Parts: sequence; C-alpha cells; structure tokens
Amino acid sequence: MILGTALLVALNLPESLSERGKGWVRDILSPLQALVSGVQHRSGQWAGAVRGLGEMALENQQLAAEITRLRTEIRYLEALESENIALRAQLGFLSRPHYELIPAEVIGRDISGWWQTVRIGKGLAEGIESDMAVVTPEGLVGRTRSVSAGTADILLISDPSSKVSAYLRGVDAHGILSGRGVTPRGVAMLQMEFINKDARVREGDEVLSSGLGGTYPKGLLIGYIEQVSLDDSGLFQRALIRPAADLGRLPYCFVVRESRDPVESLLRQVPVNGGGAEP
Amino acid sequence: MNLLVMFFVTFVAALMQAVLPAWIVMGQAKVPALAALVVYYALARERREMLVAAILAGLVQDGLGLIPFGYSPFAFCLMGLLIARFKELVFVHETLTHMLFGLLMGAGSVMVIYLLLVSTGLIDLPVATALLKASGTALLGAIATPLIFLGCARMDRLMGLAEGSEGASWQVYP
Repeated sequence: MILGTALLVALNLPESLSERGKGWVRDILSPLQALVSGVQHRSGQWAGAVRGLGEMALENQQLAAEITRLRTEIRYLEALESENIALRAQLGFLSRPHYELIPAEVIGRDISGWWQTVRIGKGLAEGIESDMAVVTPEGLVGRTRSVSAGTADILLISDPSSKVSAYLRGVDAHGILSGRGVTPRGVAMLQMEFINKDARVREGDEVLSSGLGGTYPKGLLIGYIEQVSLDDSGLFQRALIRPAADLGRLPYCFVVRESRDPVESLLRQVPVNGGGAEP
Repeated sequence: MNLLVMFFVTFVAALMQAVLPAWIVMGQAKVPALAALVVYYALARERREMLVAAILAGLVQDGLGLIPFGYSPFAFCLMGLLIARFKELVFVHETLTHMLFGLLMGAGSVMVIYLLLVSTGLIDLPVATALLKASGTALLGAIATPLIFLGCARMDRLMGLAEGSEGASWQVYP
C-alpha cells in the first residue's frame, strides 16, 4: 500500500522537482562516468597513436599547412567583419549576437536507449542552460536539454524528436530537418522536409541552420544531401541528409553561448560618420 | 551493511549500463544491468529488499537518462514482484533460471516503460520498434543476468551477508 502510494507520487512528480532529483543523481555519478569514459578515450587514443606512428611526420606537415591557410583566412575575415559591423551600424541594423564556445567532454550516452543523447561534464556552473546549440569542429551536433549543476544532456540532431530549421547553401530553399535515428550500420541519418519543389537540389549540397526558431545560430553546417525525392503529396521535395559531425564518436563538443560583442555595442553608441570607416 | 552493498552494486551496474554501447540493430537495446540486479534481489532476497533495490535501481536509471522520475522504479517493482512469485518454484541458483528471468525482466521492463512513455506523449515510436528493442534487451538480459547474479552473490558472500556455497543450488539466501 505504502509502496503503491510512493510510486503513484513518483509518477506524478512536478517537472521541476523531478528535474532536481535527476540532477542530484547525475551530479553524484558524473565523476565516475567521467573517469570511465576518460579511460576509454585515452586507451583509444593510445591505440591510434601506436598504429599511426609512421604517418605522423606527413600528418604534421599537412596540419602546419592547414594552420597557415586558416590564419590567412581569419585575417581576411576579420577585416570583412569590421567593415560589416561599421556598415550595419550606419544603416541602423540590429546588432548581431556573437557566440562563445564552451568546450566540454562527453562522459556518457543515454542509459535507457530511448533517446539519442550524450551527456557532457559541464552544466549550470559553467553557464550552460537548456536549449543551447552544441557543435563540433565538423558541424552541428544537437542542443542541450536537461541541465544540472555539473552535467548537461545533449539531444542529438539524429533523434526523431529533434527538429532544426535549415536551408541549402547555394540554393534558395528552406526546410525542416528531423532526426531519423541510426542505421543498422551505425550511421546517423536526418531528413529534410518541405523543400521547394522547384529548387535544384543535388547530392552533396551543404545543409546549414537557418537561425529561425532561436535555438540554433544561423549558418552552422549540419550535413550533406545524400538522396532527394518528391514527398507523398508531390508538393515538396524531401532529402536524406548525412550529418557532417560523427555523432557516433564524440569525445568532446562545444556548447554555443550567445553574447554581445563589446566592440559592436560600442559602435552602436557612437555614430560612425563616413562610409567604410574602421571601428 | 546490506544497504551499503546494495548502493555499491547499483552504482557499478549503472556505470556498466551507461558505458556499454547500445545494440543498434535491435532498436538501440542497452545491456539491462540494473534490471538484472533486480532479478538477483527478487530471486535471492526477501521481497522488501527486492523492492528497495528496484526503487533504487529505477531512480538511478531515470536520473541518468531523460525518462521522468518514477517510470523505471514502477517497471522494476512490477517485474520484480512477478519474478519473486515464482522463486519457490524454481532452482534459484541455476544459470538457466537466471537467463530465463533475465529474458523476462528485459522484455517486460522495456515494454512497461514504453507504454508509460507513449501514454504521456514523451516518445513517438512505432510498436514494432519497441518490440525489437524489447527482444534485444531480453537477449542481452539473458546474457547479463547470470553474470550480475554471480557478481552480486560473490559480493554478498564476501561481506558476510549470505551463507552457503555455490554447490547448494537449491538454497535460498536468508
């Protein structure tokens, strides 16, 4: 009788209380989870390092070249950004939010297997809140969903309940992207729906976040078109998307936090006279 | 002491379940280490201890995932009580018994949680996928339960919480 009542109460707990209780459990177990996953990652890295010992010199050379190319690109983009900020200030456009990346280690995956989630070892204490975008250097991973003091659960874009507003680069076409789970071979897949019927969509086209809806910033790479077809109604196209980020192997990721750029805020206070002025 | 051991084995089982990868082909089935622990307590211990273990294991499972608090304890208690009803009729320390009840627990707990999640609209998963997941969890449960049973029995014996040797397969732990 007592047990029945207790279970009835537990099944009908208010969400805030339930979340707090779950947060306690997660915070107690997260150091152990971090330890175990850390050992797993490190042993994997060691094995990889031993296997790839011969190729290290070549890889080092390629990385050095890549760094040089990226530095040049950053300098060029910085100049463009300054110009863009100045012009936007003159035109009286709304200031654009800037984003900072909070690095976090992945310490576990969903214990029940009902959702496609991963857990990171950072939470409220580091300024992470729910509904923040999460990325890797390759592309979008998902969004934070349940956050405790020291951990956060990330709902991956491959989960069927995940929805992202997206557009195709180079093609004037928007659509809604949803998760399609994981194929038997372990590859995560996504589906983009409501693409304009007349848009020329091709395999390999890049899919980016549109920024609509507020959770995901505009322009994040999500994946590439794998297959295109007409939907059942015949009014729209739909496409299978292969995510750019490897959702099956995520040793670490970055949580995207919105912040106002101090330079731009200053520019909005001081009117800029003359075209193309440097800030 | 009893409770301490229970806490320890629950945390170890939770870590196992969290770290071991899901069986993708079988609807993302996970190794049901926490459910297997409830099978051990249902077969080898008194009903009261089994219920405490089921609630603890369930709360940990819910706490470490997105399932709302209370769903897994409910499923584990239900299945644990069902298994405990049969313990006088079976050879409690036979591997085949552990495999059979591990299978039952795996499939049963997945289906109970599925029904709760669907009824509250938290997931929108076809029944076929849920059945596939239940089958996968049942198979993994049949493999994991004898191992968990062995580990827990050794642990209890080490801590002086249980008597008897492994040869006395019919003996029910006090």
